[in-house]
Amino acid sequence: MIARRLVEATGADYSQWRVLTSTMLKAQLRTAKALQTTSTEERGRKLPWGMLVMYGLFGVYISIIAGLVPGAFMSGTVALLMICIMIATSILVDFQSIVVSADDYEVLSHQPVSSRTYFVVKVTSVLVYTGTIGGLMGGFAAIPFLVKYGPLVAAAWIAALAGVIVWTTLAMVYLYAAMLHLIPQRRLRRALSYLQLIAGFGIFAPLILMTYTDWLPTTAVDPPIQLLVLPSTWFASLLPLAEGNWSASILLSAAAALGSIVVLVRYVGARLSLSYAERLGAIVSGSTAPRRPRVTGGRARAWMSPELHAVATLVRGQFRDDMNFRLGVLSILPITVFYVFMGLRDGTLPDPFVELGFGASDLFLIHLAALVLPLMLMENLFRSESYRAAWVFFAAPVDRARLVANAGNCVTVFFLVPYLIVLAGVLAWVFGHIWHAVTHALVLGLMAHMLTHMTLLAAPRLPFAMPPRTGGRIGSVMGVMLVGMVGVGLLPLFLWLAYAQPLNTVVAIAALTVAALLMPRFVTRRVRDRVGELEFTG
Amino acid sequence: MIETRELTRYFDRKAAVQGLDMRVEPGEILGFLGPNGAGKTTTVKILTCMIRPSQGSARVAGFDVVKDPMEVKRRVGYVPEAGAMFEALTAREYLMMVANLRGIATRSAGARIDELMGLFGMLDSLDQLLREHSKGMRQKVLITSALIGNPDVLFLDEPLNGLDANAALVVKELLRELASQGRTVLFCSHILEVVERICTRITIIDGGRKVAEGTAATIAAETGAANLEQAFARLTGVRDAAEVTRGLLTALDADGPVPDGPAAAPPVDAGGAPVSAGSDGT
Repeated sequence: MIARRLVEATGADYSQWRVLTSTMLKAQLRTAKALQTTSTEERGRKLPWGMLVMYGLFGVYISIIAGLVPGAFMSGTVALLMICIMIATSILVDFQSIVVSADDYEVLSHQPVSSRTYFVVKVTSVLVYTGTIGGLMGGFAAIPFLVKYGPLVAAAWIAALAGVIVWTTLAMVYLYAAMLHLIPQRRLRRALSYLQLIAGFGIFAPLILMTYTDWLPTTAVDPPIQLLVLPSTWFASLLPLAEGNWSASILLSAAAALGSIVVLVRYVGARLSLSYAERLGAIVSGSTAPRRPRVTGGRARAWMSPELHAVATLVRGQFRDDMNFRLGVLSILPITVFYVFMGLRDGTLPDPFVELGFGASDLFLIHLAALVLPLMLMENLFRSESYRAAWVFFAAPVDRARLVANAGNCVTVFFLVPYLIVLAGVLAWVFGHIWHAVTHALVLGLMAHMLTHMTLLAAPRLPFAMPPRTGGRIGSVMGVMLVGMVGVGLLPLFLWLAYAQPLNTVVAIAALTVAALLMPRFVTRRVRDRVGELEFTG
Repeated sequence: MIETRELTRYFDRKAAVQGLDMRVEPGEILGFLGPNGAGKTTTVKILTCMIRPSQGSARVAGFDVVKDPMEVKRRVGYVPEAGAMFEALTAREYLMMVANLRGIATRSAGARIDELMGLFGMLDSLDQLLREHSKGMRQKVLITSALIGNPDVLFLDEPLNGLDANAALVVKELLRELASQGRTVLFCSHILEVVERICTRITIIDGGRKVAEGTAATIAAETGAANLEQAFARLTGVRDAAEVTRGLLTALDADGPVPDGPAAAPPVDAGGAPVSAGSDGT
């Protein structure tokens, strides 16, 4: 049996590996439910179909790009780079809970499971996820390679794809594991947050690099020299090899691909052990100094409703100490900063008050960042390991519909407002007109506030009351991005009307303000019945 | 006051509670007993308006749990058995959040939190994360959260879980005192000695149905048992404890000696529970 031989060759116990891997995967897929309606509920395991469809759609997009870009080497480089970035982002946003699973030590430390077995189980379970999503993203691209370059190149594409998936997965696992070894325990929690943020920015660096070369080249058949530093380019060199191009640089590139995997396997094997899990466990269970009590009375209560105050307390606490929520939020920031950066890349952006309507379409990425950030944050706000604690929302005499609406208000007050203040500063610098920038940021903010409440209207949820679901977050984020792109694409129509005359602008802002103020009440009224039907069964 | 009539709740067509009639007067402490899976927690969840009954009715503090759930919740304090809490919050933050959810003014809630937690000797731990609290400390926080709204009716599901002897003594005394003030207490526990000592009346359920009701003495007398423990065993169909123990020991002997090497060690699931090698691992 090949699997047995492979596992035993790594020094792991095969029967333990089999049981632990299948248990870990099933536990990740299991759809626990804390809330249900009085009607029948679905139970048991369920594949994250939304996520799979999203990755499949992205795979179709990549296959189109692979078909359009000339040259097997160049198109392979572009496609593999996109897949590499997507896998790294997925691990950061969604699957870090598998890599950074603090529960492992508690469950396994007293069992006769060796560190080697633990390592192989861990890597296998992460590889199953990354292999699935990588396969969905890269599988379709085999068709254009087969049609354009023949079966040998298509086979080389599949090998290169597998290599990139393994390389990216091991590199991300190594990043987390090395960090846990290098950073002192008391600083781990904070350091892990910084890592998340830096890695979030880091994985976009190749895209930025590409934009400075020739994004989606239409003439070059070989990648420019700068791209040879990227591992995805090393793996793409298998394609020209399959075409019969055995030049020294391509051979060197292919050797770098294989060599780097061997090095990564060695390093990850040395780092990932039960002691790694022990250090993670220490972050979660380790004692910290008592916190200074926060003054929560007086001024704070003056403008906050009790429900907003309760949700804000919860969000603040979860961000401070729930590693998954914290890392989830921190993984979103680089995406939006990247969009702003891409939008500002040329240093000149059209002022939407001067270039009316679609004349200011270069603002697309800025608008996307402003409107989609709160929506992505919302997706993080409802799932938590602590979902069983949501019984308190059901036992307390609180209007659950108001809690739902205040989850949206919380995102507006504590995330959106500071974000828009920064954005207004950036726009003021770019437009050279402070009032245009402030007005535009205000319009975007009011719209983003309404969008967050519209998502609550579509799917009313209580904060942190749903169990986490592996892969669900990235699927939601991609869905939000997709819908967001359509909405943002239509935004210039509204801006054309709103910014044509000062009077129009005043009327538009007044109308948006009234609508934004009424929106939470509207949401509360509309979702009351649906939320009222929910029962707590966790 | 608590009153149920023909209270029934189904989960996937299986009755967790079936035709339960019960009445608890103000000033009473009702011991609500039953073996695991008897329907105690489901009953309490219905009475605290966390889930709805499938059939029948229930009134708590004079309000119907289906028609006036908010009025019921305002008058009720609840200590759940599992007692999950948002562990990323400190005890103070958690209690303040509960107070906010109950609409209690922040200043008065702060004073009440300090007072109640001070009585439990927990003032020093108020600003520590709940994650860092011991089981007993968490239980004290849960009990405080149930008392913070000054409830007329208290539902306590295994409230003494994890408490040290002194804290348990305080809670038992507190329950007696609250009952003497005219509050209604429904007390679920598996520790029969405690139930016998503090409860004025006892209801035993099994398979979702009431099987006995009365004082510990009347229940024992009616079942021809020497004490409540024996009566409980007879009513809920448990075989003789000595016989069960003998069976367990025989089963252990039949498994043979502990095998050598890691390969033969028992695998575990994500929750640490043993998994049979041939199973699907869940």
